[in-house]
Amino acid sequence: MSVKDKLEQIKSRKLTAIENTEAALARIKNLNPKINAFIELNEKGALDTAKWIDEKIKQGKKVGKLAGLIVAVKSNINVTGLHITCASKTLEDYVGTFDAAVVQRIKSEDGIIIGMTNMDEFAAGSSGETSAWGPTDNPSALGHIPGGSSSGSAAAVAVGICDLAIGSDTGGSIRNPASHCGIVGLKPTYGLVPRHGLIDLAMSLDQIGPMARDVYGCALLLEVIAGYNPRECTTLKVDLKDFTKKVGADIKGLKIGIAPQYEEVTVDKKIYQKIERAIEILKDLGARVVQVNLPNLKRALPAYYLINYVEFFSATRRFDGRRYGKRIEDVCGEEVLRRILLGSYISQKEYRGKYYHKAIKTRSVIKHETLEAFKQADVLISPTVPKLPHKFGAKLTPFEMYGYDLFTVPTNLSGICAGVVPVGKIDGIPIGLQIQGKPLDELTIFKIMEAYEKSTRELS
Amino acid sequence: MKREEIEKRGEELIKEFSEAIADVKEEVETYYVSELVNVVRIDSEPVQKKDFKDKMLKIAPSVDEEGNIRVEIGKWVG
Repeated sequence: MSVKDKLEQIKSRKLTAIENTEAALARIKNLNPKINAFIELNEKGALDTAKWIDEKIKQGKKVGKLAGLIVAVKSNINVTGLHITCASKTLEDYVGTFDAAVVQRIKSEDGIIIGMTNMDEFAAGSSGETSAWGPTDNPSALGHIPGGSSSGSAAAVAVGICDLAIGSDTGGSIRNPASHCGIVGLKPTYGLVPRHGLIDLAMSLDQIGPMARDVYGCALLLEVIAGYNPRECTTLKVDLKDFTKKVGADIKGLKIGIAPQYEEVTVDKKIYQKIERAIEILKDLGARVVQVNLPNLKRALPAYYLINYVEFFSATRRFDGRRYGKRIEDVCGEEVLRRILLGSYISQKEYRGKYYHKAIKTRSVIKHETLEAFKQADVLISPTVPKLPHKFGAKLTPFEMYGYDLFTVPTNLSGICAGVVPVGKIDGIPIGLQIQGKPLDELTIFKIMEAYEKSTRELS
Repeated sequence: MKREEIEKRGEELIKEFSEAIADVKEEVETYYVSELVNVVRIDSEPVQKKDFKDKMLKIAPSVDEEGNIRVEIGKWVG
């Protein structure tokens, strides 16, 4: 059932919020031991909220945009009373003392928070394997990584144990697992969605964003969580667009930018063939293809990681175990320790110019180049990841692991938005199309994703 | 993997990354992409959340009888 249909059923009392919640809890109990998508459940809280929503509907009172829908929250976003662990032993006893701004907005629109999802430790990963609670399996391709770092959120949506989920995206952490698990995800423009209550990975790159099994659900959740927040210094004061009412519009005349570098750096060529087929479908729907040039694409990854190391090192200095949690270096996993140590090294005065300052200069180049491409095209289309997800047990070097982020990090470095929509499978493994949009042009991304989803739904 | 090994291999990784961007000629540095940074909040009366202190004390490693957080003295304090 689509998100829109379910919402209408709940509002018209054909399905109660309690029934929806109980069904989700039953599925979680059945499937979570195999998938490991959730770290903690909010069973009582979810049932109480559902009861209250049903009561409001019964009494004919106005209900919110998410009335009775089940929402999963990534474990690095604060929810009062639940464990906000970042999937790390560092924060295994940390209980949220407040609601993040996005959580407040979800609750005020009658979304039901069902629990906290698994993730790569402190969001520092691209595979979903580095959680202290063990890896999440990919329900759409069992035995393969689900992608990361929002691994549990993506898996929970893919397996149908929640209607919607929120993740965070610093260099692809929403889009990469959305692609591997075959769902829809969106990284919003930097500053569009409040970061208040998100535990930082790299504060100049992090954004919270929606994940759903269809485009409507993704647009609906963004509509709820987006908007100015006076508590933040990087929030944007912009008019909120009514995404759900406009997603169905046609895409005739929209210019799709394709860079030759996209095909050059795609490791699994079958992925690119899928993307080319998707582009043909979009052309049939009236979109036009234009060539753009992104000669610095390969420089995005090294610049991204150097910045990430420094900002992550800075963000983790609060985890000294004195007021809450444990000292991070004493209990964290290998990748988190690597980023802390390298961040500390790069931050030293004698190395800052050579590494960090060079990286933020490269960021200017990437941003400028990307924005130049948008003078010719309305959106940029590429694969989401350059290679198929590996199987559990495969040993990858850090560099090989970072390679998954090749197409996604330029979005964060440029501060623009990007969505992912499934475009088929290779050997049973889902493939996602990445659509990057101009700053604050999420609506165009939704239009293209919706047009593609609708056309392929009709074909099937 | 041991800390020393992570550091050693990590330095190789940083070297590889820095070589990949060594010939970038750009001089402008981008820290944040958003130029409109709202750093000044509107002054208003402080709001005291009644249960916030209790919630914080519950997750503190140790609390004394007077409700103060008891912490280990940092190893770096002589």
